[in-house]
Amino acid sequence: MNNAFCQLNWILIKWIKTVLSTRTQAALHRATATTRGAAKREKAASRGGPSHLTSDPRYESIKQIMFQEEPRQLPKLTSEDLERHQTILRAWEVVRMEERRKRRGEREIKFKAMERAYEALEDVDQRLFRAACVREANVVFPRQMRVPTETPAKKIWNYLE
Amino acid sequence: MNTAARMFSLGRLGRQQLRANTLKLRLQSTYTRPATGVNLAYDEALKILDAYKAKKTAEAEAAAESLKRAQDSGGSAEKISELKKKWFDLAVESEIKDSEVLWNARNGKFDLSRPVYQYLKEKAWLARPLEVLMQRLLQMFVLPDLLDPRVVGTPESQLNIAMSGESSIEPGIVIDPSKAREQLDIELVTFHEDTRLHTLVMVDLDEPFEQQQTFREQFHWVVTNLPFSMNQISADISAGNVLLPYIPPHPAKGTPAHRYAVVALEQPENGQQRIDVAEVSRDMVLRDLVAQHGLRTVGISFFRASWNESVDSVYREVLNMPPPSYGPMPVPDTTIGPDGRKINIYEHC
Repeated sequence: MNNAFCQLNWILIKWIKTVLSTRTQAALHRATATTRGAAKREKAASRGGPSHLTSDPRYESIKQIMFQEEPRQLPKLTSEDLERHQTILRAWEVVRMEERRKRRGEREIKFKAMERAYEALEDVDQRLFRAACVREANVVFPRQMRVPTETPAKKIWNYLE
Repeated sequence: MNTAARMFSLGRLGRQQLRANTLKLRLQSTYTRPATGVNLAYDEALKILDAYKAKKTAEAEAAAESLKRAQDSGGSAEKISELKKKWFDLAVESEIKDSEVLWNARNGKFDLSRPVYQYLKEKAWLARPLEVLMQRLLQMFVLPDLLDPRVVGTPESQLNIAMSGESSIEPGIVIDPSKAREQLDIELVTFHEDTRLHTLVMVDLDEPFEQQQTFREQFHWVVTNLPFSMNQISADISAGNVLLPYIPPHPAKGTPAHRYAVVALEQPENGQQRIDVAEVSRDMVLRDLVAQHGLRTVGISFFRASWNESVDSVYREVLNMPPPSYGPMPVPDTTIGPDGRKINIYEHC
């Protein structure tokens, strides 16, 4: 009987809310709305218990995860150690720089060979030269591209295509 | 991946620790190589750096030889300058990865006879001192007042002012005038190999000019035909022509802080023309002097000074005049009567 009355009451309140203007609805919401933990806090406060028991239990786990390990210490270097460290980094930089320059040199040789080939072709045959100079409009992956494998295929290259 | 990450983190650490260890580094007077055998990676690094240095030195020597051949056989000026640049770049590259060189550069020890130190000195000048100088010059209006900033641009040489045996001053600082009582020690780092003749001028921008109730320029010191090059950076006054002998700064009492600018001007024909006789007076304007003789500003710096008791001695001993004192006109006190007592404005007292 009491339950039916509560339900009826709830339906009535819901209907009333729809009839009210939006402004009044908003004001009503501000006055009566509660957060998720508010009911718990109210209950605990009414019982006279401590507030930390009502806080989110995830806080404890977060604190545990964050502070269970000691924060790592940066290694302490003397000035000599620091000098050695910087020298090592500089030598590594030099190695990388040399490798870069070597690769660039190789690229330049290849490019110059290409240029010379084009110049030679221009002198030999104009039609073929013009055909070689054509730039493809729709640049996509070459059709002949294959996934690199550990061992060669049975048929290395299909010359008929 | 782990080692790479550690390496990067140590890189950051290296910079932090460098700041902490800078005090220790400054206390050393010469570079001491760290001990080998402690860190094996360091020993390998030394081998790599030595191999690189040997390779680049050989290339630099080859470039030097080709340059010498071009100079002897009489090649075109462009070709020679190109070869010279190539040699210079290789000479710098061969030594710039050396720990000792970098330590010396960081601690301000530059042996300007070596190309690597010339390069590092210029780099150090462009990094911050030039910016500070330009900021101070423009902030204190030295540049629009003294010379056209569009013509000066950024000075290509580094002018260092030192006084009474101390190290060179920061441009624009306020100094005690007694410090500049003796001739200033001027250093001009010109970043070019050949010797060029320069004119050195010290100007007070804020000398009071009572006639027009304003301030005007006054020359304190003019010396011409001073040779400067990469190897000779300190001013040898005895080698130059002193057209106006040095007068120490004398900011009068009651005047605002005076700006004293020292300007190094390159003489015409790339510093080859001599200026032995010139009409200069203390009341000239620098713009006129520059226009008359076709000079080019290559270095500039300045400092500021205000009056204190030591300035009076300059007036009495050097200028032979009583020290002036500027200030507002004394206003008669209308509340005091002829008997020296306060005038009673109330009748029945």
